[in-house]
Amino acid sequence: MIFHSPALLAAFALLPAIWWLLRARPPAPRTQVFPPIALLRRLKPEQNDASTPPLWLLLLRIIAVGLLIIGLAGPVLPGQPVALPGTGTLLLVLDDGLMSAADWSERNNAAHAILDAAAHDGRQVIFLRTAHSDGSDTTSGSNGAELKAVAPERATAVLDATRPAPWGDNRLHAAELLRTLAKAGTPVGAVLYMSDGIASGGVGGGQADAAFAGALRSLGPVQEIRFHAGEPVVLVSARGATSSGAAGSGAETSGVMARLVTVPVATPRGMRVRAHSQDGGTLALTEVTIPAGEESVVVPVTLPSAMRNRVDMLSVDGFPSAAATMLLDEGDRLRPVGLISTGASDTPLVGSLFYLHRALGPTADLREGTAASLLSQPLSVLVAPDGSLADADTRHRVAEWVHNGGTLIRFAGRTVAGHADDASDQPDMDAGQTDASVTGGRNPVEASLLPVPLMPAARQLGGTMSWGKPQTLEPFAADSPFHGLTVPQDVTVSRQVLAHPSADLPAHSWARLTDGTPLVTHAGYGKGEVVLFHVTPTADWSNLPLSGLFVDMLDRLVEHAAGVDAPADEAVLPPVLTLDGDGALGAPPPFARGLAASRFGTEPPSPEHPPGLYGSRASRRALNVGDTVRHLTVAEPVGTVTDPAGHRPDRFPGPALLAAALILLSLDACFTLLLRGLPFSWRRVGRRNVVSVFLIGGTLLAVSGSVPALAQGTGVVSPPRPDLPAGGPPAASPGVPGAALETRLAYVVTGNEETDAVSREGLQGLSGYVNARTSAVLGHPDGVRPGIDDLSYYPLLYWPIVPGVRSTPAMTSALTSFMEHGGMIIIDTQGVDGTASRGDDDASGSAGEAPGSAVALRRATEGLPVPPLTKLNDHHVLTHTFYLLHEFPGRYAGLPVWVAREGEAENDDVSPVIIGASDWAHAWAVDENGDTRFAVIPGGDDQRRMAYRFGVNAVIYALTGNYKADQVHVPAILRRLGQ
Amino acid sequence: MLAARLPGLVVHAERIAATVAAGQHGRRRAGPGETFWQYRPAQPGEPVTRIDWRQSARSHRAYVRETEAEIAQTVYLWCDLSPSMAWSSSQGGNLPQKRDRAILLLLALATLLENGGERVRLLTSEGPADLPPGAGRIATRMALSLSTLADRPQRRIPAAGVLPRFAKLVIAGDFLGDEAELTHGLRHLAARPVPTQLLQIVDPAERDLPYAGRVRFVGTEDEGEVILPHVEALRPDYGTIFSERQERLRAMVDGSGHTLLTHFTDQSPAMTLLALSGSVSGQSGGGR
Repeated sequence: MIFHSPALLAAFALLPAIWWLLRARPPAPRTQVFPPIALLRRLKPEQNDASTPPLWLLLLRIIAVGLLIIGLAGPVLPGQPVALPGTGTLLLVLDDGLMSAADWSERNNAAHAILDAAAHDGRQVIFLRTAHSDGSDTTSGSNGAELKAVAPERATAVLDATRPAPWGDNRLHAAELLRTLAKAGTPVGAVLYMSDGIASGGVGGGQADAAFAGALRSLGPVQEIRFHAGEPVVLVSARGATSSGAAGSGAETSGVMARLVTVPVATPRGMRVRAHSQDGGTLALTEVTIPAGEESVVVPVTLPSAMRNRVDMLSVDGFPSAAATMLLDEGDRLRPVGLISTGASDTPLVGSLFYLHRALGPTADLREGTAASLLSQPLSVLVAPDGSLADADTRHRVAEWVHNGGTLIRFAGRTVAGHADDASDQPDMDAGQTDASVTGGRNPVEASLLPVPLMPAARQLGGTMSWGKPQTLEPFAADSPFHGLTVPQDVTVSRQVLAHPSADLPAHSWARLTDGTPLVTHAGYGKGEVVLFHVTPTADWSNLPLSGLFVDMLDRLVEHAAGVDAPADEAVLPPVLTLDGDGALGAPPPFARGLAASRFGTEPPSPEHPPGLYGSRASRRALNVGDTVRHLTVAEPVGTVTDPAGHRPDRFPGPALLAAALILLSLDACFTLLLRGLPFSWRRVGRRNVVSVFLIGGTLLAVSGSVPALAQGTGVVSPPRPDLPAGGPPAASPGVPGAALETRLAYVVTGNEETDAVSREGLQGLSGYVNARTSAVLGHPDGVRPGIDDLSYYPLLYWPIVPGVRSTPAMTSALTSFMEHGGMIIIDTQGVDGTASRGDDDASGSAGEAPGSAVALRRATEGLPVPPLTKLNDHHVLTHTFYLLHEFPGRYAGLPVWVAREGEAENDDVSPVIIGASDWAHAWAVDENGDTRFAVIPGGDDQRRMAYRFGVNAVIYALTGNYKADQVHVPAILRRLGQ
Repeated sequence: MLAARLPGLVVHAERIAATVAAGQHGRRRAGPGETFWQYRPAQPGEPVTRIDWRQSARSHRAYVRETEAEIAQTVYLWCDLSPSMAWSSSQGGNLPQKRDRAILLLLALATLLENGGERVRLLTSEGPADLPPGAGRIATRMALSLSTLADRPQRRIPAAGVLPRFAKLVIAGDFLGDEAELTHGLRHLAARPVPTQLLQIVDPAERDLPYAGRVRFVGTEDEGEVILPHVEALRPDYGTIFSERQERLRAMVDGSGHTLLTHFTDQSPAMTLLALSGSVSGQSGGGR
């Protein structure tokens, strides 16, 4: 065992000190908050032993600390020494191309072991990586275009930065480097070649291999190391496979997306191919088995067509490599098909597009719209039902689009037949001239957008007035795109448009009826094609649209179409996403360059063109390893083949030791907690301890992870200080009057102390009564001075009239404004002015005397907009806003109460004043002990209760207005609503 | 802290008050009130307005409708808010703090009394507290008042001087303070006279001392610390000391004419509330 920092071992001298400390300081007692601590002082404990930790706990701690010291000292376990051949400078050649990804970890380990051994022996190393031989790997600039002997440590650094390349080994370039090395006369003691065992493919691959082998052998005896962990596999596109003329009819190749190519071995191998969608999700998982001795197998991916079109990437499970990953591009995508819609084209069962929608929907990217809007988007197929191409301008644009490569599928119908009718109905020169000009000047297809000239009228087969029978279809000819589809016998055609018989009609026909008349005709125009179904796309002329054959025929036609015009010219497509050596898509490396569109499929991946996706989204092309690799062959061994077994690099057990020490320390923490007594407050004490243990542990592990660079600062982890929440909700600012925050009653301050106190106590008592009995919530009452205080917060103002009352203009205007804005004032003379003349109807012997109050009242209310008054009776809203009241006593009973006459429309018929003399305040008054101070006259709790009830009614009246009056009408309204 | 717990306590208090209220009874005698009590024949000279004509029409005599007496009595509530009350032996929240339980019981008692027609006031060191308005129900208003009280230092026992004579007082607390001070306060209350119902709130841990091992005990009001080894061995001794103290407290309370009710926080509050309300309203019924 070797230590990186042996000096740290001196810390072992501290162990006895730790031993002594632990014995001297017993674990601290648990702290417990206990309120009746005075009682505890009287307890007399019999034994008071400073508990000493048991021996096993001491041992545990000492072992833990020992492990900690050793772990921090950075121990190194030297790997298995590798017997290196020869002496002197070692040439290590490493295949790190895409075929090396399968066994990369073993390859890496073995290379490390060799470099370690070279370091032990003190030998110089020349390190050559065949895939990165041109120095394209910019992260390790040391290995440029020139080979040099370096110290093994530098080679190790280069090796650490090396990942398998997503392109092949460039053995030709490596051979050149080796030749220059030989010319320079650098002495090479031994040559180690870590080969991937696959011969270079492509043109000149064999020569490159031979040149490379020769160059290696010329330098010295070659020892070749081969790995057998995993044979490389390559996913090859199925498009190439089918076009290469391999056997297989259409039915057999359907669903095959790729071919898996590998090196043949003697045992069958099972693999799983995963189909990914664009977002990385797995769409399908296919199990394939490569039979013994076979070098390739097809990969069928059974998916609905719509799902299949979403497949973005295929990869082989367990083989993270660029070779085992296949990207799909727009060529594999679903074709955009445009449907020209007319009026009610999607009406169920009879609409012209109804069956087309259902036939094409699952397999194509359907777009629908007018011809103009459809043609503004890229389309591969345009389907035109009958009547949709009536406009000459539209026809011209469609013709132009077909000329540029589109495929137009038309359906017959009344308009197509009628068009022919019209032409035939005009035997004069008009039609003749048109025909002549068409045939003479322009392509007939362009003019009519029909593949063949049609007969004037539709042909009726098997109607009530015809002799013939509905015709069935003939099997499809070999040159038809429908070839291979089986024709069901129940598909019949009862009506069709007929083509003009001509010599080349059979060449234009892709489908025929049993009597030889064409059902589907086509004609090329420019780069595109026009196809005509001689029947309608609905079930009225034939039952073809009802059959599965219709779906298959349309599928074939869409497949037949040329597709989106993916550029196949010299336009250079920039790399967008590229694969790395492990088969992961990522941003392209800085040295990746664009590739001309025409070279896709033939250009092998290289550092300049790593496999990946190129070009903009519309014309995206995929460059795959499988584009150029058709099969894999085992390369000839260059030298003596050896097994990599036994090559093992150095190991660093430091982190493991530290982890063990931490586990022991946490055990120790648990035991200590147990020793202190019950784990009663485990939550509080334990968590803190454990957290600190793990904090220390994390720091230690971080330190030990960087053992070779112990100089790194041991960052003390300090958790971010949590932001203390701001204090409670902001209190109301002192400027806000309390009455704005709660509902309060108010009384007018008269200046007479006794009266004001009674008013306050009375309103306090009333507020308490209202709070207890109703859902209204009233605060403590306020005393206000109208004209000085703001009255707008108060719903109800109690105004006791004292003889000396004075009214100022400010007061009058404030009260006027208060009343006009919905406020209510209870004006209480607190007794009857016996001196004043009054009506005899309210005579009551029990009323208190309030001399001068009548004059005072008149003086106080002068200038106030007091409405015409009426005596309060049982029908007024005020008598039933909460309680049903018949009398309204205060301290005195039987006195009349005056309110505004109903029927005055002002203020919603709510009286702004309640004027009385009953002295309610005294009846309501409650002192601070909750007692009522004043007796009521003539007396009885009934009267006081009635007084409170009148007060409640008044408060509710002030708060709710004429709500109760409206409620009278509720039954009538409900009855009316019920009708 | 306290303010955050109060809404829950209010709801709980009203619930258990509603439970206990099932056992409420009226005064069982005629008087001013809203509940019907009896019909009695009209006496000569009685005001005609008192005659219940509907009932009288059924027979040949005139009847007067009497309602049940509702005599309101003011009950003063006092809650010890000292730090020793803000403690619970269970960290996980299985047991409430003593303070919370005391507030819960007082709020529930207030609700019960208010529904029974009594007046309830909250007592502070400065005298009866003005209940804030702002909510209709007594428990809510009292809780609001309590939340403002909690910020100010309070005595453990109210001074007798702030109370009217013959007031009814309920003191909730743990009575863990100085015994001499407690005795003094209770004597003064008895001399006023203010018959007092003491509600002692005890955490079960304060009775059982359920700790073990070596423990350093600290108090809640800077009383220093006590380190005890092998606490489990001292448990019987502690039990004796605790019951002795309870006996002393009971003797002191009984001697001054007050009543004591001990509530352990692991007990159901409803049971204690039933006993408490029985005790409080059982003694009422006199005049003002």
